[in-house]
Amino acid sequence: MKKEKQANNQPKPGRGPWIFMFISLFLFFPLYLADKEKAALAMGKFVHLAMEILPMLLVVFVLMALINIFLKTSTMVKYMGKGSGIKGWFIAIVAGILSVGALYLWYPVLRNLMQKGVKPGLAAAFLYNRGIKLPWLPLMVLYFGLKYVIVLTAVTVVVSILQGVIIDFLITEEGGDESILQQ
Amino acid sequence: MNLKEAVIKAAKSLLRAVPTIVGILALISLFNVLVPISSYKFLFRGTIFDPVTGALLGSVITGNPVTSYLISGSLIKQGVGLLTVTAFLTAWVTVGVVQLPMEMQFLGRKFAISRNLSAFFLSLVVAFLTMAIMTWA
Repeated sequence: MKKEKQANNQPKPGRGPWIFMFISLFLFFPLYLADKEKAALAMGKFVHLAMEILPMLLVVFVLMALINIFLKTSTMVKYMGKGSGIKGWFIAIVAGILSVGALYLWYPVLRNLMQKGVKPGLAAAFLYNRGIKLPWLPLMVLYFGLKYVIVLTAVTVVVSILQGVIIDFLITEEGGDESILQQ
Repeated sequence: MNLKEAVIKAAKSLLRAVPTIVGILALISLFNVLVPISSYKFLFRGTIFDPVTGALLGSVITGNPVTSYLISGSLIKQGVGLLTVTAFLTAWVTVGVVQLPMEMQFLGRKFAISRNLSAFFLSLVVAFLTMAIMTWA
């Protein structure tokens, strides 16, 4: 029963992700036949990217374990649940801006948090604010100028709230697919 | 939840994500090698649809933000407008067509599709607002 409950808290991807992975990897083969040099370049890029995200995977793993241990459902509902108000938006925006690593590395973490009662709109606002890359802002200023970067950053924050509201309306109000998160 | 249970649950979640992550990395690597940056310019014709094209391009390409700055810098030099470039930059970091299968797997089909579709349209809103404020301020 306990095992069943635990298994139910995990996504049920089936064979889809594995088929996706094998097809994606298989695409290197025709490229290799057509152009060995480009295939080697692509493979080098693939290895480089994999090495780049490896340490981040460890961070995500630790973060997820910590969330499982310390963050209680009642706490998450209080701070980022349906009645969280401005506090919830503030946390989602700041966390989104401060978070690092690839976007997809955060999906398992967000799923975990949404299962603990975090509003879908706040998860969407978090993901939107990941568009603001603090470490890269100086470089962005170099390319586009300070005024542009300040305006774009401020607009992104405001629009992230708009997206959160849209997602809450579509997912929660229309009884969307919250069921998948309760599986 | 105790430490052991928490670690097992985290490990299971992460392991389930591995095949999709590997697949995404393979697609990104192939795309970056097969589609040179210089080819992007041909997509822009100087029409009112350029921002939409920019947002579409930003939605399907993925990678480090620095790459999007390099591409944007190159596009600006080739005469593409800042409105289009802003839509491109915003869609690059907020929309993820390549990551969509994984987002659907973890956060639900409706959440993922709604989020990406709205982020696509909102990238145009961000671009127009940014340019309006830049002109006004």
